[in-house]
Amino acid sequence: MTNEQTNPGKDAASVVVAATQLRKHYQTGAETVEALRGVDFRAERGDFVVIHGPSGSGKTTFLNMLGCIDYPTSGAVEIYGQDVATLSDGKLAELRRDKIGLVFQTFNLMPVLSTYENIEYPLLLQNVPRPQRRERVQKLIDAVGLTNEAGRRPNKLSGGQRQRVALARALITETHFVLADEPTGNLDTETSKRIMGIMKSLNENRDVAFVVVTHDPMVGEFARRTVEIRDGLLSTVTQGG
Amino acid sequence: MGLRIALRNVLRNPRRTVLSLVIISLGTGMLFAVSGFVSFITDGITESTVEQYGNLQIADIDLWERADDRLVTLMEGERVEQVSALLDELPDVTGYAANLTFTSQIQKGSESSLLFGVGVDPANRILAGYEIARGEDLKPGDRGKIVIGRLLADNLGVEPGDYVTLLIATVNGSFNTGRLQVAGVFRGFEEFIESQFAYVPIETAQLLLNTTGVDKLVVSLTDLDRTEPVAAILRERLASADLGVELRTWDVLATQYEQTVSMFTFILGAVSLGIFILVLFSILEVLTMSFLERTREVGTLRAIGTKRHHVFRLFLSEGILLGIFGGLLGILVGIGLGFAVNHSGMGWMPPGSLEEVPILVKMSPVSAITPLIIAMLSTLVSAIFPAWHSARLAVVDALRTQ
Repeated sequence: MTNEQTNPGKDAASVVVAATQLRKHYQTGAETVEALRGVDFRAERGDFVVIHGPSGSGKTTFLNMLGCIDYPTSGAVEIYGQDVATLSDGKLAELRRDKIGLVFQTFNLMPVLSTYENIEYPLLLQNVPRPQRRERVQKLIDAVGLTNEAGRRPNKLSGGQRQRVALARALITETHFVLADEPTGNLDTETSKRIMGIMKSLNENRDVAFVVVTHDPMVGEFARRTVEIRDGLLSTVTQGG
Repeated sequence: MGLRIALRNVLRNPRRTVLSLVIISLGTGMLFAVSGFVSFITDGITESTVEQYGNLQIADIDLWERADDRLVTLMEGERVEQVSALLDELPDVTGYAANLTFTSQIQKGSESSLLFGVGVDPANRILAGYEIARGEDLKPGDRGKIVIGRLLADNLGVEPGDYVTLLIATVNGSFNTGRLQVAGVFRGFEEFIESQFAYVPIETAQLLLNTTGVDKLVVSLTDLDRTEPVAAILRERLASADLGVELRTWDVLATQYEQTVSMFTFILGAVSLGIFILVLFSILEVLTMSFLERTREVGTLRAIGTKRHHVFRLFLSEGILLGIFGGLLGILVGIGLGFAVNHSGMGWMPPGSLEEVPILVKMSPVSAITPLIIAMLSTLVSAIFPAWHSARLAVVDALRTQ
């Protein structure tokens, strides 16, 4: 079973990501595992899609395809209308740098960099001049409530603070497309709600599209759409607020 | 930022960093000390060679080619004067002196030996060549006197004040004998010199050989480095004057010099290569471990848009930084080692030498260049493969690594 998941009411220009007939097969010895079995998906500016499903259902695999950090066995992924299969490794890196924000369950911050530097890092990759970097990083640090933690390294931060750094790092390039893999997986309920609140606020106020993979039922409360993935297929859609 | 991250990564595991720095600095320090020792030896060889031969020598065009019949290639007074006039024009020439070398038999009673004699001008000695051990050196105005090597004196059983007889073939091929008084016995540092060499006033040598000629002019210069430029000028002027003479520089005259210096250079090269390989493989292992442990970080860096060549450069920078720090530390270790060796009183006996020579490490900024380059190059090379491997990792696989 495959089905196209869209957010009706938006024009094609606002589509941030589109996946068509995505398939991903893994070879484990003699056995072929079908992690994705032909998935169609679209997300647009302002979307807030929560993808849930049981372990091993292909959630993370699907998210990796959308984030251009893994390649499908067949099918196509387009980011802002650009077919990523046609891009070289370098161009894909630029696409991830400029167009996609990634948030991981385990935060994945650079341990040798401070909060400020972790957030600043993507701007350095973009060669943004120092004064603009400073202004943008400071603004975002304030927005995620880490003004007093700017000089601290990740090992001196709480889980919630680390995830806010990761979120700020994902958003510093002013992307409108953020992929989050279990962003609350390592956080307590209160902190999870706070992180999700920040994401929701960015979604509503800045039109940032979020695609969030999660096990956490609480995360679904923030979604405009909820999608279930099971046995490598997207199966149900719930339209929310 | 790249360098800042590299520096922090280098410092993040102090134990591993210390281990790396110890390996690099010990290797560099050893190399600095060995390089300093070789420098000291080769400088010493150069200095003693120039002391023995002068910076350059000028002789009849056939002198060095006709070693079997050298006495037919002497320079007579007029040519000597013309060459001298050309030498006087050059400000780099600090002095020159005529020599007349000969072979003869030396006898004292029933003892005799082969002798390589050198006729010199006691008033114009530009080469030291020896130190007087007993008696006194030749003085201006001395006639009929001789100074001989210590071993030769011992073999003949002569002391200063004794008389020896020289049996010699003149330039005409007839035999001549001379009775000379031993003015002094010299120490010549090399067994060959002490056992077979003697010096007489040049007039005495000319008298014995029945000639007024000399076989060469020995020239000394202000600076060793000026040898080649001055030689080039002189060659041109001598050729223009068509005097039928040839000029040879000290390194060409001392046929063993190049071989000896090449041997020491080879030894230094072998030690450098050994240390290069040792540091390379040690640091390769350390960096491979360090980079492997950070596979997930590489995945994150790549996922957020870092290009492969940036990752490669980042990891390479870590190797370079280790090389720089280790190399500089190694120079300090080397200076310490050199200081210890220079104050240890250790010595060695060079081949053919009669006396122990102190082992000294020459410490100069120049001696530090090669060890520093070796340290940086070895760590750079050892970082290439693990850095390349890390940069080539598939993003998704790197992110999955625990």
